[in-house]
Amino acid sequence: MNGHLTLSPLRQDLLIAYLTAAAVVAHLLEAALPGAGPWFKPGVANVFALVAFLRLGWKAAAAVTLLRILTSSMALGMLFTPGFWLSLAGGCGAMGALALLRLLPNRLLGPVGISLLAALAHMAGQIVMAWVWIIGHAGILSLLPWFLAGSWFSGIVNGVLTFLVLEQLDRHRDLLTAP
Amino acid sequence: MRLLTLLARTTTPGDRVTMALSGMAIVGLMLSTRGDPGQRGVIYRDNRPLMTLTLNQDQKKEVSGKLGAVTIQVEQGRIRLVEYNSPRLIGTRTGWIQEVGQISACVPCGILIKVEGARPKQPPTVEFDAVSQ
Repeated sequence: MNGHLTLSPLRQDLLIAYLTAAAVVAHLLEAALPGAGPWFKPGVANVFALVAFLRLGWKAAAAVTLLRILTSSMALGMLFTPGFWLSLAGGCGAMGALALLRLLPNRLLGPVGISLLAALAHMAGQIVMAWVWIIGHAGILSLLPWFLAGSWFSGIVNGVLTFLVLEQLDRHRDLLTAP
Repeated sequence: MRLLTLLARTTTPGDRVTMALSGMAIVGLMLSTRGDPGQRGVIYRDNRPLMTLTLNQDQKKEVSGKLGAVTIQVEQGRIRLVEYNSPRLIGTRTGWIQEVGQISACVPCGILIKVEGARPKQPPTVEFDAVSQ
């Protein structure tokens, strides 16, 4: 399941654009739906960043994440609000985790393990941002286990979704590489 | 059963170990943060103690947060935060808190409530806050 695609720069940019568009749509839909609980946010948009990571590499995943956060925040009227900075901190946390996971042997973790660790890092990034910059009180750290529990669950679900998306993508690999 | 089959198909042994270890670590963190029944709720705004409410007296207070008014309610030894303009209403949806060390926060509002025990290190009071401002 882990293995990069070899694409021309133009096709790679196009795939990044498609994945970003899908991630933005997922982000906006999720923002419009009622949440499942205070500690739980599905974060389905991250599936597309994980697909980019597993098929195009870390830089592509970072591009999808950054563009998704910027575009979605603009669409929701949240650019440079506390919610935007929390999103950005979460994205940076997840990208940091993915950067470290590149150092592991290729087949040690599949999409589910990678998604789980990225989701936990995403939440840790958000809580640290809330602690250091927005709330400024270390008491916020006592919420960490509850938020991490939500992230644990969403990380696994998104990892399974990533696996299924990658399966479809690999099935139609000829469409991506055709002249 | 279908869910287990799907998980078995989509995970590697490394994934399963990661799921188990991280799950156990999170449960351990949750258990370690459980505390005794609290006596007071301390309200912070931007990391500054704003007021202290005793939990054995039912009351409602309104404080001003970054996104507008935030209501703090105390009832039957519990305390909760009710915000109206926050995007995800996490503070409101956290619900009642009552054990020492528990917190409820509206991050975009900059408001945080922390439940404390009977003996605070430096008890912030409404009067002190009024003088300092």
